[in-house]
Amino acid sequence: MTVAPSFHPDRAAARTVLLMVGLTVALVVLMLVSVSLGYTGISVVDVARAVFGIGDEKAVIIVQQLRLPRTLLAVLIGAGLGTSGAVLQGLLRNPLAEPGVLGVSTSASLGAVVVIYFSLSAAFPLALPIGAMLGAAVATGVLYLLAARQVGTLTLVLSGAAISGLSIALISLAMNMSSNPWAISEIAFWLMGSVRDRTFHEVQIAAPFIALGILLLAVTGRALDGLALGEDAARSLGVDVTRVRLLAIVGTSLATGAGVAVGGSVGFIGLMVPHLLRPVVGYIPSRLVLPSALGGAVLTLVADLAVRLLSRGTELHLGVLTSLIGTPFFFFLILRLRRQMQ
Amino acid sequence: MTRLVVEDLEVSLDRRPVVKGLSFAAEDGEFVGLIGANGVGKSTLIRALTNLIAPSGGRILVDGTPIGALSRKALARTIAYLPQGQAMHWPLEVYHLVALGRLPHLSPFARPSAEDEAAIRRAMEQADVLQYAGRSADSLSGGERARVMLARALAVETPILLADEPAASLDPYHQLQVMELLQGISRRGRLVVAVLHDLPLAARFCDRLVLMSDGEALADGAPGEVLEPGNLGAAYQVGGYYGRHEAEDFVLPWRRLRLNGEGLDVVADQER
Repeated sequence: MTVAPSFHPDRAAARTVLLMVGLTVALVVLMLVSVSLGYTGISVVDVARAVFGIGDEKAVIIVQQLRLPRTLLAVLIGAGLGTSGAVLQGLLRNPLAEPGVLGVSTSASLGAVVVIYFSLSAAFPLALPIGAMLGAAVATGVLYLLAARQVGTLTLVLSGAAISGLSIALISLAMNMSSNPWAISEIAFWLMGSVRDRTFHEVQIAAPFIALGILLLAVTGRALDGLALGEDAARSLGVDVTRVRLLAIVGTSLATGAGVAVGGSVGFIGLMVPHLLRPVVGYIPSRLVLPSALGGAVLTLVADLAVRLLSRGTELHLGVLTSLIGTPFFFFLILRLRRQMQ
Repeated sequence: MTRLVVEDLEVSLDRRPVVKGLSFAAEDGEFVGLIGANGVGKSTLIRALTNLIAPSGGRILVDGTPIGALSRKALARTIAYLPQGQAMHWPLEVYHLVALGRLPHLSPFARPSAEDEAAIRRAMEQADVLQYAGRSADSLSGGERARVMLARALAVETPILLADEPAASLDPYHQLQVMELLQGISRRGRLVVAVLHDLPLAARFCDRLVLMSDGEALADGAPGEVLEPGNLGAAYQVGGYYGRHEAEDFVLPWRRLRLNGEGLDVVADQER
């Protein structure tokens, strides 16, 4: 990336490049750590070889079939959530916007639960991700309709809580009415979020949708910059606001929904990552999108590593840990923003 | 040479007619003040001129081309718009904030060119904000912020600049400064149309005033003619204090008038 010569040095651009490099290095290191960590002791070198199918057959099976899917899913889910958070915050011009806080993740869980409850997966293999993505789309669409009517931050966050509440109520209803104990435990799992014991099948299901979602979200960049001035000013600068909304809604639904379909609900990644990275990129919304994808992947991977390292006996669920850390963070943000919210 | 022509323009908000058959024409080099009481349709007119609202009747032409026929980007490169209130949702560095004005000139994913850089610099010089380039937008005072937002609109380098209450909520010093800036911009060959509430400022700095009343142009012409007592009474229900200072005529809104059967009366002192 070259920076045009300027009368004003664009320090934020240099910082953004450094940030991207740093996050990429961290991601690669963490992925290596993640595939190295497990009950069976395999050296890092052997793990690296096993990733590409070289070396001891047993090591190859453990790494490729057990550890790699888990690692890749954490990266994919985190990248999807980080990107969704960055774009939703830019679109709604609201630092509290995030798939979890706004009820998009819970709504996606509801979509997945409906599929499980009616056993639709048996009839149609992609029913689960599609159900989750539709659930996410409904929530994102409703929120956007509200945001388009110029409601404040408070209304938006409360609406998210309402969407979340309704989704949880309907999920509980499904659990309540289900006569099948397997379905009940399966549903409970969605609410906690985890990437444990996954196979490449899940990676194959989620990866294309999450990748497409991130791509759609990344295209919004410049328009998000224009929106920093408000919708009228953005329009007067030639921004097609309707197109941006559509990209953001479809992109968030794909990236968040597909993630929920394979990993359940993992909250607050999309809230924390853009918030922490925003000052580094100079608060420029377009420059926040890709670092948030990397940052989301890094944070989710760190959380999943923590889950594995902290757990004794029963493993802590990934979504439980991110909520335990994310909720105080959310509360801290509310306190910091309380003057703006009134 | 740029010419903005508005012909029999009608604009409705929620099916309620707000602008009702308004016509006027203006050219580059002019500073036109759009004045009138609250709710007569000034902001709606400005928003229609930037194609933010579609008119329900009439035409808006720039050099003979209806603005609806221009592409999004072509329109953005023709008319810059400085909205009321000057919202800024993230604390961007001032340089980056002004650089947003170059959005209509950038092709997707391309980085700003030397020409963009030059335009940003020119805009910041004209609005006298170059010294704030590295400051965070949320650290600016009201007057500094108004000029930075003006620089953002100037950086688009359009032949036409529309501003909605650019001097509102500023102290007198900064009001004068913003009006001087807008006048200077028009002198350098752009058409500036601004919604204004401060009549003495509008009269002093604008070349022309368009006085709106109930969605129509009640008067259009030199400030002295437009602000004559009859128009002032009809449009604002106020009487003016007319005077002359440093070889310039001025008018101050002086007292409220009230409607009676035949016309307007001065509101009696005891009612004040």
